[in-house]
Parts: sequence; structure tokens; C-alpha cells
Amino acid sequence: MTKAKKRALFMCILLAAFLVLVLLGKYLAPNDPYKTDLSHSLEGPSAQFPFGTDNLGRCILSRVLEGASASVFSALVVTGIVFAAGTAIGVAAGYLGGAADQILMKITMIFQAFPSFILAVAVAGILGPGLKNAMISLGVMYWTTYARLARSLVLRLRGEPYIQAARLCGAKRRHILWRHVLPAILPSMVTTGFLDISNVILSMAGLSFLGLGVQAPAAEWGLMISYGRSFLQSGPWCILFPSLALFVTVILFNLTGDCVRDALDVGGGM
Amino acid sequence: MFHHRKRIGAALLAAVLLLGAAGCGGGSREGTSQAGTAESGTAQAQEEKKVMNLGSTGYFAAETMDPANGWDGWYMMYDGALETLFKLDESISPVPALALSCESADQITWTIELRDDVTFQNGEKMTAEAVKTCFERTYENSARAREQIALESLEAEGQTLTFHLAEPSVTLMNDLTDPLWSVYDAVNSDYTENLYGTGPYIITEFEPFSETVVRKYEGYWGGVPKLDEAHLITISDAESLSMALQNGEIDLAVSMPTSAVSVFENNQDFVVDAVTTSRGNRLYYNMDRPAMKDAAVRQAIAMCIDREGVASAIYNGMAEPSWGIYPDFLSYGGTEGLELTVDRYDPEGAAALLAQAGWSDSDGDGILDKDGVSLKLRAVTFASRTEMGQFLELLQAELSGIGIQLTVDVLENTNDVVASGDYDLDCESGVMAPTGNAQYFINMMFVTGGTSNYSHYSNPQLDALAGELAGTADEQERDALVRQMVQMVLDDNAMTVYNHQKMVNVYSTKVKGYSTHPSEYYLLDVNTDIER
Repeated sequence: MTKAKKRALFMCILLAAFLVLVLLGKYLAPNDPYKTDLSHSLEGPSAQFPFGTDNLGRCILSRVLEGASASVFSALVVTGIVFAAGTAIGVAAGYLGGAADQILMKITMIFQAFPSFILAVAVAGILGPGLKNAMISLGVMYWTTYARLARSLVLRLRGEPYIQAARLCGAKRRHILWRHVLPAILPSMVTTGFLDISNVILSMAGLSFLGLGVQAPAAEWGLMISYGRSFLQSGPWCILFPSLALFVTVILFNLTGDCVRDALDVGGGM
Repeated sequence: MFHHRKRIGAALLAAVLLLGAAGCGGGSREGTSQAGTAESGTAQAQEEKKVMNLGSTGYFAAETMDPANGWDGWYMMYDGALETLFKLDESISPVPALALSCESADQITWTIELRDDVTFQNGEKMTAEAVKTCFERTYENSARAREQIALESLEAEGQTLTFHLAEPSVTLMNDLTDPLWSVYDAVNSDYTENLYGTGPYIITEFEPFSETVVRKYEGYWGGVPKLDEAHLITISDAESLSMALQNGEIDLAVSMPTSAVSVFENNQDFVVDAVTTSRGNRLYYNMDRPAMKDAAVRQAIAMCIDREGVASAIYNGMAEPSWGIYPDFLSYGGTEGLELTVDRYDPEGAAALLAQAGWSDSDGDGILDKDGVSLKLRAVTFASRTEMGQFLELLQAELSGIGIQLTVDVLENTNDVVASGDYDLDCESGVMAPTGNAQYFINMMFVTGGTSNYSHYSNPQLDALAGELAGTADEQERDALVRQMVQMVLDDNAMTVYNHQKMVNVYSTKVKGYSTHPSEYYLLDVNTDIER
């Protein structure tokens, strides 16, 4: 095993452990994340409330843990879906070529013509706030990357001798796509997906921060950061801990993405 | 990765360039000030020019320069641009301002003598005729004005203005302190470029909802204003407002959100000036909605509000918890002698009340329902007072405990949603007796079809009493009538006033000649000064 692969494995294990923590977060919370208690309003970190409380007396640690799944898993789901859909569209456009390619790529270009986050804000604004709608708007924002990348990779592969050989041998189109094209483009696609997860997490938090994503009183990091703004000076822990959680998560996904890319040795196409 | 490195590199380069440019800028400025003896005259004049910056999240939000439009007159009174015939003193009693005296024999015909030395900011003299034209315009354009004063006609002669009312009124002087009745030159003002009031400051730049710049009016009748210029700036959120004051960007913050007050309380460089006003933070129950028609639901919601806790935790002690409608300091205020349907925080009692009224979770979704109506409610409020969003979030948690699902929408403003009627609860904040006159609030909020009756409350008995109040002169009788109406509103839970908020202005110790007025009507005046 090369050094890069070892490192990637280590990061993947670390990330897996983190995801388990996120998954179990709800059960590890020391307090009810939604319980308000005005007698413990805006208290600093203590044994009972390790991350302190907000002005309604809610435990910040419990809320950070509770919010982890909304913040992280929604981003994973969004990335997974846009990965699959974008790749399918890109491969179809690249391999079929001709009119299908023209139409699909024109659609992609229309979507890319808008500044991406503005597009997400607009879509979320039209659909109305909520976790589901925020996920849809992020999907609308992110799928084009995968479609274009997959198409360009497929276009390059199409001319490769082994694909042509397969075709000459009478292999069916589906067979070629599944057996030859997809495995060849997958490393690049996966790496892009990995590196994108942290962007999606940040965008999701951004939408919630703007009030377009997850709605109060749900514990979600972006929303908690927005709420904590009022107490930046009187209770900095309100904004510090959710931000820290977001920071750590994004760093973790980014580092893992980097290591995976090095390990898979994806050079071109990026 | 290569891509990313390139981008980081570019960002660094940009930062370095910016720093470099800033350095050069500083250098060259120094150069001119050293060499600029020839320009020292103008430089000095500029130095001496007294400019004060005032910031607020919601008090400078005029939409137009038209005093007759909505509450814009109020905002422009803040700017020091407008004045009224009478103004409120520290005990919320009307005293003459642009008027000298006010007399009436029958409470239908009122004769007001105007000052002779007042000019509009374009130099035109303020005559009775000018005031008449102005009031007639305001009356025609503002529904609130028509609600306030039943005006039959106005008569002007020299400096004598005579009001002929349609029905007797004992509160005309109070009513005329409302900034809606500001005096402006209705002949020459165009309300987009210029507005000529009579105040010490004239508006020179106006950006709707964001910034107003005023310059001193040298011909002001009450002396020469101390400031040369003032900027009244809307700052979008509480934290920015607090920081703008700390870093000197603004000198005075109007209505500092309570969450930020603690930062200034023990700081010698700032004055925290808090006064009790009649500002009531309140919850309307939209009775056009099926669930809110049920008095038990309204009462249950009112019982789930921990008013003491809210005042201390959300309002930082800068509010007095309320179980009635009007604050204690008003002669008709407080809760003494009233029978309270809700007199303590009691979520268990609320749950029992709902069960008794027949609400149960028949479809097993965790939310109470009855006859096909589910207690899924929508609450709205506006963003500039952050405490209200927090209050609704607290209420949401409380109500979920008794089986009511509350969706909270914090909007830029509630005008549209209130017009559309698409809400169950509306959290608003406002001064309840700005002119000292109880009638004002009752007519707007509780009388059937009142302009701010967001509860869509209708009680013929109360309507009749409100009519009676308008024709009653005796103070004690008036107070008794108001108490009767307050009792009705409490019995019906038409609205919950959960606290009376203090007006908290925080300003730098450099600000002189200023103190917060309990009416929330006045801000800049001829005496406001700043030491640089």
C-alpha cells in the first residue's frame, strides 16, 4: 500500500467515526435540545451545559449534536443525488452525442449562467423555506458540475482504442457504458463528489442562516449561527460552538477528499 | 489542487495590493495636510462642522417624505424636521408648541392661537391658512387621521385656526401631538425632493428605509440648532448597531435591542438611557381563522407565556411583564380592579383548558384537533425587533408541549401578511398611548374594523363604549370606561400584551443636551449637541 493510500484509509476511518458520532449525536445529547428554560438563560459553559445555553435556556451542546444530522446528512443526500443524476446526464450527453448532447448541454449552460448560490437562494425563495426545499435548491445548484465533468470525460474516452475495440467486437451500448466507461470515469467523479460535500454543507448552512433552509426551532448549525449573532458579545458561545462544528466538519471532508484524490491518483479532468 | 493554489495565490496578491494602496492613500493624505496651509481655512471649517450620527434598526425607516403616509410623519419628527401644534411633556401631557393657546366652550368648536414667529424651512411664514391647507391634505390622505379626529371643517384667520368637529372631543390637544398632525408647507412641498416643516433641521438627503441626512435650519423660531448636520442611519441588525456605537461610527443608538444593552451598562464612555413608555409587545389572535375563533385556544396560548421569564431572559430586564393591557403609570392602566382570565404562567392549566373545550389528538399526529380543525398555527412577526422572533420561538416550544404546532415566520415587515390575513398569530410592538389618550389605541385595535385591529376582533358592546368614551369629558368617568373595555378585551383574550418595553437609547458621553423622552415621539431637537 502506498503512503497516499494509507493516508486516505486513515482519513476515511476518521471520517467514518465522525459520521457515526453524527448519527448517534441525538442519543449522546446531555439535555433535550428543544427544552426552553428561562431560568438558565444565556449561561456560559458549565458541567450541566458544556457548551453553555442560549437566551431561551436551551443547551447548545445538545443542539449542536441534534443539528449534526440535519446539517451533514442532508448534504450527503444532496451530493449523492446530484452525483448520480449529474453523472447520468453527462454520460448520456457524452456518449450519445448529436442532438441529445446539444440539448442536454444547452440546459446545463442555462443553469450555469446564473451565479450558483444566487440560483439556490432564488429557488429556495420560490419553493418556500424548509429542509426539503433547501435540498432541492442545492440539487439544482450542484448537478451541472457533474454533468459537464462526466460528459468531458466520456468524450475523451469515446475515442480510446479499447472502447472502439469493444464496439467492433459487437458489445452492446449498455455493456460498454457499464463495463468500460463508468469504471474509467468513476475515480474522477468520486473525488469531485467528495470535495463537493463540504461545499454543500456550507451552502446548506448558508441557506438556513438566511432563513431559507431549515426553520426554527429546529437545531441546525446555520440557523444556530444566525440566532447566535444577537449574542456575539453577551454570549459568544451561542455562535462559537455551532461555527466550530461546521468548521471541523468541512475541514474533515475536505482533507479526506484531498487524500482520496491523491490515493486514486486522479490528475486530469480536475 | 493546482486550481485552488492559484486561487489562494490570487487572493493573497489582492490583499497585498489593497494594503499597499491603503498605505499610499494614508501617505498622500498626510502630505496634503502638512503642505496645505492655503487650504487650512476650509479644512478648519470642515473640522468645526458638527455632525452627529444616529443609528437604529427600525426608527428611521420612513418610506416617503410625506407626513401623511403611514407612520412617516413619526419618523420625520425624529429627524427634527417636523413639529406639531402641541407637544407632550415629560408626563405625557400636551403643552403648546407651535400653538400658543387652545380654547373651547362646547368641545365642538376649538380655537387655537398660533405662534407668530414661525417660518417653514423655505422661509414662508406659518399662518393659520397654511396650517389649514396642511391639515386638510393630511386628513384627506390618511385613514388614521380620520379615525383620530372627527373633523367637520377648519377655519383660518390670521394666526387663529378654528376646528369645527363633527362630535364633541375632549382630547383634541392630545390628538394634535401625534406626528401625523405635523405642520408642513403643503403648497410648496413635493414630498419626494423636499419637505418644508418647521423644525430645527431640514431634510437634505432621503433614502427610503435606510438613511436621512438633515442640515440645521438657521431660521428656526426656537433658536439656532447646535448641530450642523445629522445622519440618521438604519442599521440592519442588533449586533451591527451595538458595534457601530462601540467603534464610534454612530454617536447615539435609538432603541438598542435589549440583548446588546449589557455590553454598555458598565462602560463609562456610554450612557444607557432607559425610560418606561407605553410600548406594548403584543400578540394578536386572528379571529377570522377557524382555530382562533375558539376563545379557549386563545386563552390557552396566553397561559403558556411566561411573562416574568420573557421580560428577564429575552428583554434583559428592560421590560415590565404585563397581565393587563395598559402600563401601570397611566391612570387607566395596570390590572388593579380587573378580573384577569390569565394571571400566571400555567401550561398544565392550558392543556386542561383545551381538553375541556373538546380539543384532542384524534388522528394521532401529536397535534390537537377538533371537528376537522387542527391546531397547526402560523405566527408572524417582523425582523427589526429581534426579541419578538425569539419570543415566538419560545412560544413555539411552549405550545408544542401542549399539542399546538406553531410555525414561526420572521418577515422583513408584516404589512403584506397582515393585509392578506394569512396568519393565526401576529406579534407586534407599538406605543399604546403615545398621546396619553386611551381612545387612540382602542379605536385602532379593538373597535370593529379599526385600522390596526389585526385580531379582527368585533364586540358591539365595546364599540358602543368606545363611542361613549369619545363624548365623555370627565377624567374619572373616562378611566372607568377604558377599564370596562380593557376588561372585555381580557375576557375575550382578543389580544395579549405580554410586556411593556422600556425605551433604551444608548449614546456616547460626547452627546450633550439630550435625554430619552417617554413618549417615543422626539429625538433631535434644537438643544441636541455633540462635543468633538
